[in-house]
Amino acid sequence: MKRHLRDATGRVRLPRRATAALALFTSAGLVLSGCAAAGGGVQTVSSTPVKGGVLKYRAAGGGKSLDPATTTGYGLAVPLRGLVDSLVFNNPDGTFAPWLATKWEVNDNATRYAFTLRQDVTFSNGEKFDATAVRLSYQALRDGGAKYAVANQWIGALAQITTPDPHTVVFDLVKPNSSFLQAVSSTVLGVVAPATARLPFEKRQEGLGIIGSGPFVAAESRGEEGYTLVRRDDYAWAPEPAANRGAPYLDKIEVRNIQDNSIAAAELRSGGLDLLHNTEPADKTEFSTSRDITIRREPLPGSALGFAANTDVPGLDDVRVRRALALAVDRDAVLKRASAIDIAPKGAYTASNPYFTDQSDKIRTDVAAAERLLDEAGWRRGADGVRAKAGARLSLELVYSPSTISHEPNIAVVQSQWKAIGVELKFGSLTQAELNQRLQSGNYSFSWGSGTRPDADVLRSTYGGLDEELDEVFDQILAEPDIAARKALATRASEIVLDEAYYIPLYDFIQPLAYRNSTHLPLLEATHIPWLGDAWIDQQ
Amino acid sequence: MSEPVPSTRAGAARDLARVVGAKLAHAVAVVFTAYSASFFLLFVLPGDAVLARVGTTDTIGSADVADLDLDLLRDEIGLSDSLWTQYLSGLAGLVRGDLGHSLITEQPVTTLLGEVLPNTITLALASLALSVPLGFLLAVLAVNPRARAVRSLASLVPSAYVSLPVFWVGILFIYFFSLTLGWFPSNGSQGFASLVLPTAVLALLGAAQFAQVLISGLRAELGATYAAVTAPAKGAGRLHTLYRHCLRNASFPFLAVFGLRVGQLLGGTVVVEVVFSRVGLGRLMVDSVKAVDLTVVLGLVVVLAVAYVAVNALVDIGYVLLDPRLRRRAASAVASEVRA
Repeated sequence: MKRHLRDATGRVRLPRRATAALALFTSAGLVLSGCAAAGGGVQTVSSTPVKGGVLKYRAAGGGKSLDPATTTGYGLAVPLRGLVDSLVFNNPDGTFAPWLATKWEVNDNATRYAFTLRQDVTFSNGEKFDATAVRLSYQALRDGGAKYAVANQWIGALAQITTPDPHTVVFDLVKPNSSFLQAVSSTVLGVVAPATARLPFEKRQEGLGIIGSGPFVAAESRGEEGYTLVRRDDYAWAPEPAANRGAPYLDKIEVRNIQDNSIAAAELRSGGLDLLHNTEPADKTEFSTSRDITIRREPLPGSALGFAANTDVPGLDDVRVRRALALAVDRDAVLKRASAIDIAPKGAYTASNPYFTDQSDKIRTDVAAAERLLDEAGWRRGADGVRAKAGARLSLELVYSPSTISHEPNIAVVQSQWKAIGVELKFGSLTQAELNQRLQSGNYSFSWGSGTRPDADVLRSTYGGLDEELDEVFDQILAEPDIAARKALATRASEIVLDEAYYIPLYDFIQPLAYRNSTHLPLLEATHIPWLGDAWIDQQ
Repeated sequence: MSEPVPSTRAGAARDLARVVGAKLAHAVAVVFTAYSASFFLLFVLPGDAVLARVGTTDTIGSADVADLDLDLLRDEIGLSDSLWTQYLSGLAGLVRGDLGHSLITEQPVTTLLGEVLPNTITLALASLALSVPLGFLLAVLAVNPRARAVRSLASLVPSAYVSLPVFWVGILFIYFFSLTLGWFPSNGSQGFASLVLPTAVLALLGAAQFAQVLISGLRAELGATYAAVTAPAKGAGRLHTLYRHCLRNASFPFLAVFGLRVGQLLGGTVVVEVVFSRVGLGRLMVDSVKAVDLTVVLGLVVVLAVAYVAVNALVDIGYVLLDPRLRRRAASAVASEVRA
């Protein structure tokens, strides 16, 4: 180390590398005290974009597939947003802007969507973008059926795709789906070239088979370890809100599938990465005060994190029990265990969802009332302290996938709070296969509610089929293309979900991007995925 | 003592063929058993590959998952056939040399194996090439030098290192050599530089394991009459006794551990692969088991079974090379069988 720097607080500050190393050292199990550099978290905003540079990005849990249609998680979709364009761009306020489609028409009950397409767009392999290309791209997903489960769930019941002329494509749906535009705007439904649409499923999952019209082109695949995207110099059809109309600023995007979260965080601190998704709670807390690194503090748009009840389970079939459980949760205590940047929930949607309204008055703590409700419902404390009724103990099980493991300390807080009112909570992570099996068979008490989609419909995918009135509201949402009207309906849906305590929200979880302050991401879509055509990196 | 056996050249060839034939039959039995056992064990796992493919509840809610109809996909990839049909068609494929397709990505299993094997083999060979001489060096340092301090240190280091968790050592190496000094990349398997840190972690572990068995072996041998009394009486120096007599005898347990180590390096390096974000056999195995990707797991089991059989054969040959008695015994056994 050449010299010690002093920061504003007068404390000796170690050079960046050493700090990163120390932090990693600490997280590796050795406790060193008094060495962490504290920063003011001031972001220097340089307003002039710089051309050139490589964005080094890390997403957690990546495989080798570059197929946007099967890449449904947020982190893995971030770089693929640069590979494929969508017909429309979803603004963070829920509205839509032209992209590959210059305009579109939706009929009154959201069953017919007609898009007028740009005429100057080509795919990176030279194929022309037109109505047929769009049809083939979507048809390939329809033909794949359950192989593209998420994509097809979002598309909904599609009757047919027609192309009245080369620059018009019309989607006819069997049932209303007002979420269709949001689906169309997603990376999952990004348009691929006819050459890609013709590929069988397994060929799409390997190598550089995905050809899009995006500002970047897949240039190198390193299998499970990552891939490289390079700039497309003749790109000229950015989404309307983008400041940069032409070729992207960045030369390259290098995607590295670093497995371990703490190593990835250390790489970000040392400058080995520019942009990072998925951070351990301790690193989040540290990033939030770092002077070199910014961590986005807006929760991902979707539904807040918490427990979604299975109302077929004895006990949870009674609204009094569900309400009691909701009232017994002290969220302040839970948030104390969470990372410093997670925030209290204010509704069934996260605060960053375009369809969010503040309903924090419905999320309260009242332990005495909780005990009263359980007594009323006939659940009496047994010898072991756990309430029982007709021989059945009030013992509940929360199931979730391994991606939720970092929340376990916070879930344990709820466990002890519920224990105090005589309710037993068991929890544990399951493999994706087992989790989906349990969800399908109904063998669980609570699932971990964590939908991420910037849309009103995100609640239906978790709370559909529980309640007639709620299902009716969901149907109305799907048949209502108008954003203001949808928002009113979404507010009603969130109200029912909270009043009936189908859902016990814990916090709005912050798991978005962390990046070095030399990285600039001026434009985000509603999903909070950055538009990489506008991204740039300061050159030293 | 057996009498010398007269044996013709044709007889020797026949004996060899018989030995090789027996070994091959053994290998086939091992692969078959490993395949069958894994096949039926995998069905105990909850859920199936189709459910693993559906996606997470982050993007598709629990109500959506409950409503999904996945039978068509199960039919397509053969998961709705009866257990026996699946087992028999898998075996038939194995005989043809066809390991089938992944139930998740639908790519041929041989392609997936082809992607991970070079990485794993390179890492295994590189670490073995370093760990064997290093292990011997440590063992000799632990018993030979006059200075007690050197001996104690050399015998302490292997036990200490073996007790450290591999992931922790890996993270420490990344911290020192990658993040602080910037000498080597912390992740990936592209290029020579990326091989250095994982190789070092594994080579040190292997060397420590080898040194442990060699040290106890050498100590026992050095205490034996031939080394402690006979050889010095004949005027042999300590070093001469160690190298010429004891090391060979102490190498038997080493050879056994060596065989085990190769197995560990092929299938069990998953921790190193995760820490250094490398593609490899171990990680593919863990990922495939988690995703209930039966065909890939079975393909890996077959490869590992074949590797174990091969390594065991090599270890057997090593025993014979080390111990002349085994050679004579083998020859006489074959000869007596021939006579009978």
